Amino acid sequence: MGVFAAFVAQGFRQQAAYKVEGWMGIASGLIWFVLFAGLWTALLRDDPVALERQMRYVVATRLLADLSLLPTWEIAEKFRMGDVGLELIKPVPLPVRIMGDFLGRSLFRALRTLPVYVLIWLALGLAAPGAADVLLFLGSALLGWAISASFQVSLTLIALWTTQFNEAENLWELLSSLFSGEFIPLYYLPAWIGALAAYLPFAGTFFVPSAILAGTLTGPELWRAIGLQVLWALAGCGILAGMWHAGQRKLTMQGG
Amino acid sequence: MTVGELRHNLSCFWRMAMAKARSQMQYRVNFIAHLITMVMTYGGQFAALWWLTQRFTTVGGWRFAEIVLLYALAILAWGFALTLFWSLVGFEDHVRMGNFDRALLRPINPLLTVLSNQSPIAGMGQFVFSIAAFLFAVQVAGIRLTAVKLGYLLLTALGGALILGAALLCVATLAFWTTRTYTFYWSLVYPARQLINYPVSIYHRAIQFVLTVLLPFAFINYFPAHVLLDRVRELPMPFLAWATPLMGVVSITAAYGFWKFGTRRYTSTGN
Repeated sequence: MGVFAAFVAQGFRQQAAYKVEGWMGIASGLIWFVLFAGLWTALLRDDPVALERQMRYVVATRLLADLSLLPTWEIAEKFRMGDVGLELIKPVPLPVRIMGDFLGRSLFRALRTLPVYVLIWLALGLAAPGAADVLLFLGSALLGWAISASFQVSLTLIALWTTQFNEAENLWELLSSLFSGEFIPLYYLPAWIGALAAYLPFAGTFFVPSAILAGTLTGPELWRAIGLQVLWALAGCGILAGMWHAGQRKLTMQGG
Repeated sequence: MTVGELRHNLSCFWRMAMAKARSQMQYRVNFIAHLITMVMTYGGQFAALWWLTQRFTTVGGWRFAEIVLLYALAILAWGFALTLFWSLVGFEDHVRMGNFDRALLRPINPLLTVLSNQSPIAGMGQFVFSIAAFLFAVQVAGIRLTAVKLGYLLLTALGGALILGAALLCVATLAFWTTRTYTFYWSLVYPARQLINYPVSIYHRAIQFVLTVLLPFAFINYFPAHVLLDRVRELPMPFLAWATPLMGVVSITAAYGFWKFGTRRYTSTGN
């Protein structure tokens, strides 16, 4: 655990060095916020209560978008260039290093943009969330990060068998865009699709934490959703460990 | 530039671009996988839009088929922009590695050398998809097509491509100062392009002003869609519906001026 924490701290410090990217990330987040704020204002103009709730939801998803940005292309590049060979001689398994590094970078990005979204929250006059909601949101957001990171890094490890394979990641992104709730909360999807999506891993990455902060997920439904998040996070980490273990023996190095 | 020089420039550009297309077609599986990914991505966006309009009927007064028309116009313009200007997004590599020296030494306009790094078949998928989306929108939204509308559609696609190309050219020019293009594209231009997937009228007035004057993406689809839908009179300034080709020329001219200014800042990294 100490080693993992060291990689988290290293990733956090590393992300701090990318200053231009940092400002551009904030600008990008604001453009997306403008899009979703405009869209939902147009859709819910006649229902102020639902609109207020949806604005809280949108702010939460924008913050989570910064948290869940994972530079998996860097791993793909390691495979393409043959650098992954160096990973095999290191004492810490590659997935542990990657997950620690990515978590540190995600945390830095989210903390950097947090003040912007707090200001937006205040500017829109949204009701302040309770302390319990904030704690549940943070816990759920971290579980969502674990689901997203473990599955996406696992998909990148397919390159251990095929050298380069982007399509699985593209498919994950497509399904995520439809069923994660990043763009449309599950309760605004057609009923049967929303019900199905609630059981998929994608819901844990955006919908559950955002709905907690929006105040639309409460009571037994909330605990059931968090329970599912824990199960998907464990499943994702299990798949990642299994793929790394099996894939090392299949690895074909590029280069001499 | 004389007519002879222009012909020489364009001839060289075309040969280099076709060579790039031939080299890209050597990777057929990649090409097909890219097409499938693109179809899935746009298909996903349409599905999300369909679900939204099923739930809420309209978005700012625009029905599903009308928003599909906005998508179709945006994708068509993006297809042309990809074909002509996509290589600008990777321009930071040329600046950082000093490869831009090669473009400066060739006997054609350096910008054409940079642009010829892009295969002219890159926008193929976008063309097919946008035409399908357009035909769907025409059918469902009950658009009456006339020769004038079809002619203006083509001009709109070219004008829209020039507006997008101008944005990409500005991004590339920034590399002379910052050695970055990918960051600016993915952080600014890409999300700004997504703004016009919905009617611009749903946004705050300040954003509408930005999308009309400073970053005139509203001319790519929102304003010309009013012509196709016979809704020009609904615009506060109806002439804007017909202004896309002009705005395209103005945008690319301004961006080219910025590019020329930027090239004077270029300092090679050496060999």
